[in-house]
Amino acid sequence: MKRYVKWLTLSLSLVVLAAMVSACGGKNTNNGASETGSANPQKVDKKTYKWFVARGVDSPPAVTVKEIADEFSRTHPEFELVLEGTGDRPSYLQKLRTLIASNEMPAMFDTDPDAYASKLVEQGKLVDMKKLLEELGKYEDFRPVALQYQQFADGSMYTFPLEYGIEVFWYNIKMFKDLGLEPPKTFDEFMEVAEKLKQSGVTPIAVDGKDKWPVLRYLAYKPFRMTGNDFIENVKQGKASFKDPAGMEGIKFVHDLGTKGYFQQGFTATDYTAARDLYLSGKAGMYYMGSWETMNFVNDKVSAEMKDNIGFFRLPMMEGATTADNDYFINSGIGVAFNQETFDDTMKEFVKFLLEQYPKAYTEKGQFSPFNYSLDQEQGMPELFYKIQDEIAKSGNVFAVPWDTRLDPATNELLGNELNALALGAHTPEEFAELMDQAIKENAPKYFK
Amino acid sequence: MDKVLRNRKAALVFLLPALLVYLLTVLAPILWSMYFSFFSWDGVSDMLYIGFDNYTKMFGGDKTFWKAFSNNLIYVSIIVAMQVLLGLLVAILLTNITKGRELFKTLYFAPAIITSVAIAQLFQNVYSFEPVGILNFCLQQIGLGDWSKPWLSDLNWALSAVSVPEGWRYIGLYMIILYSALISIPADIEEAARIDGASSWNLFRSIKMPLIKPVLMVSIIMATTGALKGFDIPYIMTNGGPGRVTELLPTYMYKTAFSSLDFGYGSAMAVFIVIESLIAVAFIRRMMDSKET
Repeated sequence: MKRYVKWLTLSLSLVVLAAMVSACGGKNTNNGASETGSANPQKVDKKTYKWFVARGVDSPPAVTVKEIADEFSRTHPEFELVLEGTGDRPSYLQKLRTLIASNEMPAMFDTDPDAYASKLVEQGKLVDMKKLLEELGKYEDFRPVALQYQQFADGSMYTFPLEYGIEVFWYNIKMFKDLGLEPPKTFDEFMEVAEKLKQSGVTPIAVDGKDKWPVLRYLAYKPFRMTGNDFIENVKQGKASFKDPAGMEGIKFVHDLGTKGYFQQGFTATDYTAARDLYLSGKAGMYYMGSWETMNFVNDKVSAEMKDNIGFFRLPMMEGATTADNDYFINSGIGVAFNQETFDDTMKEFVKFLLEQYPKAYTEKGQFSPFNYSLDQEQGMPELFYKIQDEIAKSGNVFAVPWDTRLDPATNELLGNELNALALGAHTPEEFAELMDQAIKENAPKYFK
Repeated sequence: MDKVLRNRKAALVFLLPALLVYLLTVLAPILWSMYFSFFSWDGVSDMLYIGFDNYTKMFGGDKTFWKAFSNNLIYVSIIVAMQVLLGLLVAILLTNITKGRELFKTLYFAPAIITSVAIAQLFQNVYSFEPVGILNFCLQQIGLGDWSKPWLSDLNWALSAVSVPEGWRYIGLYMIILYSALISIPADIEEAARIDGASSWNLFRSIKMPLIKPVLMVSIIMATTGALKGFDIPYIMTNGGPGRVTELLPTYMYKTAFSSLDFGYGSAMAVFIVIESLIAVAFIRRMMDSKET
């Protein structure tokens, strides 16, 4: 009996071990089978390409691309595009970078032409988009600014744009009229308007402080007006200091807006939609955001009263400005990069197809596309859409680059955090400038040589 | 079957699979982190061996690291106080009632099974200032309108504000553990003490406390180590901000590795968190044991 029990325990434990070992190995054999596809000769070998999307899979660009990809699959049954999206930018970037660090770069993914992307280019991991667009004869179809935005500082380009947007201050027309205010043309007027709004008991500016980049824009306005993009391109490498006039003007501006209470109370914990709702519910006078919000301002969810009260004005001017009033933040969104390793003929054909179909399909969703393509009045789009379309046509060709696509990752991380603290009055402008100069000194050499 | 359980060799064999899983999922990553912590690596370029530089930076010049460390201590004390003290209080109250006991138990335990994201969202609405959240609304209603503030944006209050949800969430868990310990005390001991004329407080301090001490110690250790690796709720609610006032070691570690792309330095911090937790456990054991004598 005793011997029997011993055998039983031994065999049981072997079964457990065997199960564990086979579970570990099992994954590999499965993968091998699906890749060769030899078990199922009738079926066409499907090649799945993954697009890792930074904007949520239900955003207009992602939906449009998916529709076109499905249409493409009808004539090319071997092609399948799978989307995986994360709307929250910081977690998107973290996930993407972890995937790349573990050698699992997706076939397509969204990225800005930032310091990290340039490292990928250095390693030869991305498809040269400039070359590809020229080869396909599509380079000229784009708005020049849309492509410039996707370029690195040296003019090379490894991402292609899906969106196009100008950034403006949206304001509440009725609120301004009731208080006898005009849309400000200079930063001084801007501060006066904000002060009047505050005195009448409304929040002057709604801002999304949680995502950090909207507050970062405020830091960039005055340096852009004073120097164009020279300041950021120099300061990111430590060639200029945040204590320079351009830097200090920017820092003081954010410090003033925050400490004078022109942002809504508790803005550091307000997220994207909450900030927009604050403006759309008529509780805030101004809201800075890109033209990609246009359709959200005219859809059925917006109250009828508010719908007709949405106006916009350009980035204010200042004395000694070197950029014109129709130069401001213009961008073509986060671009799409292609993995050099998985880029084959099928993929190339798909890109060609996509470029042909995209402008019309995307614009008809009420969006502004990076292509030279516009809708005329007969298309029956809302009035605000045509107003923005006109504004885009009038915009200049010098545009402000977002700082978070230019700084190295570590400085960027620190800047986002400390900028909110600056606006809450935790740092004086001088302390903040010192802090940033330190961070650049420490981190920039790893990225800019 | 009884014989199998008594067979020592069999027990050893059956412990093996669990040990293997444990080694692979716990020990290996820790060793891996230690290895990474000697390198400077951004996840794309080649790894660069830099010896103890990451540790020198951590203990020497990095103010944020020490800020995160001291924030973490405050975070731990708030959470342990809430989870163990309030948990114990609720458990004692529960032993004194019979009617509706199950209802109370369920209600107090409910938050423990809700996901962190939902809890973070919930408390974001509680703390919200514009539009006005429940907390500020209540303060205004009871005439303390001056106290209402944007809690998560307030440099002095944000850290406490992000600590409370985590503490609140697991009160129920520690209540159940401590409640089980309390009701396992034999009734005759209690009766004997009552006959000797012990008051409720004396009964609790001299009889119940010593008897549930081992369970209490486990609870404190669990709450402390849980709070030391506190991450999700503060990360979702404030992302360490504004500035660094709600930065904890785990959030700083995560951001250093994945946002600032300094995997080596992040790994060094991860190693520190492991060691810190081990020290905390040893410290608590020492303290609880010395009380006995």
